[in-house]
Amino acid sequence: MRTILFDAAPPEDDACRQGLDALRRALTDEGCSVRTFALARTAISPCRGCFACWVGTPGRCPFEDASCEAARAVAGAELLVVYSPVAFGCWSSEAKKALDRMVCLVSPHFAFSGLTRHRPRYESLPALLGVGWLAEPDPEAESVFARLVEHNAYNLHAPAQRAVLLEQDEWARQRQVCRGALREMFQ
Amino acid sequence: MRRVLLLAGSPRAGGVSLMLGRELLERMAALDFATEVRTLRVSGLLDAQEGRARLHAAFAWADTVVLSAPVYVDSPPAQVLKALEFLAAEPWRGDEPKRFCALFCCGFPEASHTAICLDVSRIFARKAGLEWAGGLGFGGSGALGGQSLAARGRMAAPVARALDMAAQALTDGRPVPPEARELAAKPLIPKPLYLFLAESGFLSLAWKSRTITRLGAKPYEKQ
Ligand SMILES: Cc1cc2nc3c(=O)[nH]c(=O)nc-3n(C[C@H](O)[C@H](O)[C@H](O)COP(=O)(O)O)c2cc1C
Repeated sequence: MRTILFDAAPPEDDACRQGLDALRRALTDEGCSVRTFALARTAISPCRGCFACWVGTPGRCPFEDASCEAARAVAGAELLVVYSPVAFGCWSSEAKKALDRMVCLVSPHFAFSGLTRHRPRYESLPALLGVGWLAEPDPEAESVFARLVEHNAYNLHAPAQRAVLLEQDEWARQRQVCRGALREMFQ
Repeated sequence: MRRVLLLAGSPRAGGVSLMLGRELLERMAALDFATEVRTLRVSGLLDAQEGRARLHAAFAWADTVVLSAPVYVDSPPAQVLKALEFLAAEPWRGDEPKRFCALFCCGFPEASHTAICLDVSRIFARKAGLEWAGGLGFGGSGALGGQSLAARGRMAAPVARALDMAAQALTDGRPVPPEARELAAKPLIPKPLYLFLAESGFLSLAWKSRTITRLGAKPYEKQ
């Protein structure tokens, strides 16, 4: 399965990077061919909120940086995996700098049924697996994170979605949790 | 004397969220002449040491911090999250309690799209050692434009009333009341009309940009 991994693990956070390692192994175990965008080392400027990617240069942000390549990769993928420390129940700013730039993947036209969202630009967009890293348990943040992944999947027209939370644990257990989520998504 | 800091989270200088934040602060200043207000835009602020120092100083100065920002992809924009991460890295331990309130606006007509942002703000307040003073979520920001609320006339009356109530509560040292949150969430125009106007807005921009026939372009289509 063509898989894109947005890796927002801070390079200096060993515990968080252990979770990333377990996740990568789980992805290969499940037969995913993974292309990784290591966001801490990738220059992506914040979205300017100008909507040029909808009306000026439809489907493409005119401010070219690595986010354009990331958007191209996501458009052609079957699975998008985002790995990020959970910041107040949300993605970290590092993960979010890339996600904000993915709005070019949907169309400016609205879908008129149900809760409002935009129509998809491409025939198929990838399933979404959100993997959050929590240094210590926080039930409030956990439930907000699960809702966030669900909403992101709805707005990005992901055909399947799962939110997984990794905490301080053995590597093998973290890997098992990720494998379980992947199996549930695609069974 | 009350010291209120507005953290403006939109990259757009003429954005709706900045207008809403300013309207709230103007109301607070009008209610209590001893209220001092400052505004800091988070766009690019943390890129340099000087900006980080400014944010630090303004945050330490304020007794009430109001974040006013748009919803980007169901959550606060990256730059807002960066500012929140920066502030929470050193939780507030001053003698005086510091209060935190958040306003979020979103482009979809349902204000429920702001709910995650308000939850994130509440969790941030807990992590940063601040008192959560509640927040307001506004849907259908396209109907508010970037002008003042007065320029929008009667249509914006529920928004103005919600801000009045929030300003009064914050000035009295109370959290934003649930009635204000309900008023803020009220659709200003019926959803079908809003969507029609929003679509027309995009089409007219595309017409001007000569991209109207290419709006559905798929530049990243698999070959
Ligand atoms: C990158 C991006 C993502 C957005 N995502 C959402 C969204 O998930 N839900 C929504 O209702 N509006 C969304 N919007 C619309 C904005 O919330 C809306 O335009 C808002 O008024 C912008 O605030 P500002 O005018 O203060 O810049 C998005 C806009 C941009 C530019």
